[in-house]
Amino acid sequence: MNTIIRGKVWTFGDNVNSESIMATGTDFDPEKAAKTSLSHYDKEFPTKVKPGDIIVAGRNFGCSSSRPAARALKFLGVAAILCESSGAIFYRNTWNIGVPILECPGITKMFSKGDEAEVDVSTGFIKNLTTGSTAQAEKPIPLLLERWAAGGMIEWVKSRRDQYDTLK
Amino acid sequence: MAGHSATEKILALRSGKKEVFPGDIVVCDVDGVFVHSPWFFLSYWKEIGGVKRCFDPDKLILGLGHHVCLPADNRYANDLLEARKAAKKYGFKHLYDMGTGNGHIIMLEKGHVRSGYVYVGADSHSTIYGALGAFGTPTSYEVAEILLSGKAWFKVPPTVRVTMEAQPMKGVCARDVAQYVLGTVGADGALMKSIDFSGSYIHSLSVYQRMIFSLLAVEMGAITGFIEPDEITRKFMDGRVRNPYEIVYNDPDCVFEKEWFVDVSKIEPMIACPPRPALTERVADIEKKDIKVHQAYIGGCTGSSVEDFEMAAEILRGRTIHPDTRLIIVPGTQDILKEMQRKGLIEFFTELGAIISPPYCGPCQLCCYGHLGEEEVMIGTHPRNQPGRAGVNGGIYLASPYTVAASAVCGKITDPRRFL
Repeated sequence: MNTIIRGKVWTFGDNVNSESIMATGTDFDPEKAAKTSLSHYDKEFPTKVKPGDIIVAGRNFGCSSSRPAARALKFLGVAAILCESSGAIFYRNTWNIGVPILECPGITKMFSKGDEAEVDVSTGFIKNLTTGSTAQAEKPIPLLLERWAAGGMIEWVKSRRDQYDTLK
Repeated sequence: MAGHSATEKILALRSGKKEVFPGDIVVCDVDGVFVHSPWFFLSYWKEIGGVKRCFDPDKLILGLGHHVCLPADNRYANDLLEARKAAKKYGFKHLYDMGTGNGHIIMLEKGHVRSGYVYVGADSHSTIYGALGAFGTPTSYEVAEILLSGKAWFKVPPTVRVTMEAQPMKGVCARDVAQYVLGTVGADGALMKSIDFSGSYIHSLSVYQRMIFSLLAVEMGAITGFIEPDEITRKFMDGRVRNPYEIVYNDPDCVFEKEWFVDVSKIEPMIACPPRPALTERVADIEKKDIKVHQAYIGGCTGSSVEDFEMAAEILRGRTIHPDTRLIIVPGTQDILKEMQRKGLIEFFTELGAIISPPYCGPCQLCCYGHLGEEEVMIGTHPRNQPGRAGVNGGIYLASPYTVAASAVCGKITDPRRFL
């Protein structure tokens, strides 16, 4: 499986809360949530983001509420999130939704908005294709890579249906 | 070799391992799952297809009455209808419907949580179960899978500890101390860790007051907020829990990754300023800014216990609510409401002209009512004030019941020590 992702970078700071990615009232509607996603921090983002783009963010990205905010980002086609650190719930949710999120201290110093990034999700190796600099993110655990390879948690469950006595 | 933290010991017990270390991946049996909005996992179950049942219908707790006491629109009413139908179809045994109140508190009050076991919830404040010496953590989206397997994976977290000693000065309560701790630890100061609250102060608190710390653990980035059980915990659980509990302590030689020591007697009334719960200031400093409050809210998972309302009443007795301020009283659960009734608190707040709501989590997130107009300011005892929650420009401040009550009297953010 090809685990390398390349895309244009959008940058965000620290403590970007999940409610700003998916506003209250849009929890059940990724399309509606996408219309205002992250607009509190970057007004251009919801309308100018393209499928395949990559988010580079600071500390505690996706903190606060446990809503599945990455569904809005998946709807917009965000291919990966690289951050200094992630909110704990957001981290689990986002992998399960099928969007890889990798933690890499120092990442914000490495990228500017509009740069081209490349990340190998299975190894955590990151490259700024615009400047040439590289970094090593924490390697995601096999359990999460397995779910991502299946296309997210739901697809993963479907692919191993016979392991559940609660499923037909 | 250093000993293990209680978190490590609980995760080892429930994953069938002799011992585990921070960084290990474990798969644990789950003793309970809390959900307030089942339409999410039900829709994921639809996508999966062929769901016969959940792993144990006795271990799913549906708190439909958490976000709303009654539906405020047709869409929500229909979602609730679907939830009730699903509960019947799948035989879910525990459905807390309209007016039952705050699901986090119900989980504890109704004996669904016992020391030494693992719980997950589809809500970030599922860190609360640590208040009874359990391991409790939010897993949101993943609840759909956990309900099918009955197991959840965890990366064993390191534990950090906050030790709190002495007693607070008059006008300062657990909410202030917890806010001070949040400000000290920071919004990501316990990120991906288990945070352990210890010391003579925490063990002097009732379960209702100590749960504030476990709840605010998530605002510090922690995956759980653990408090070692004591006699108070046992007394709370006895008569409520259905199955035996297992008290798990930190090993005496356990090493915490980081420690903070707090002298509670030095803490003053504290307040969280918008736009983040961790933006901590002294009320005495914010008072100087003359910030008018339009809505004063006493309720929410961090401020809706009988003791919280007694503190508010202490300030409000013999005084009136400012004409430009709405005071909203939201008892946490039906049990709390009944106790308030017995103690004359409902009569007291009614005579005062406060707006008394049926039990639920209140206007922390605007799923029900209590919306604010443009530029309006709310001060409340609830846990969150971020952008995208209530969607207001004026700002939301978070403080103790003493401070919220004092602010309701003066119509602006006020240090409660003026009245005590």
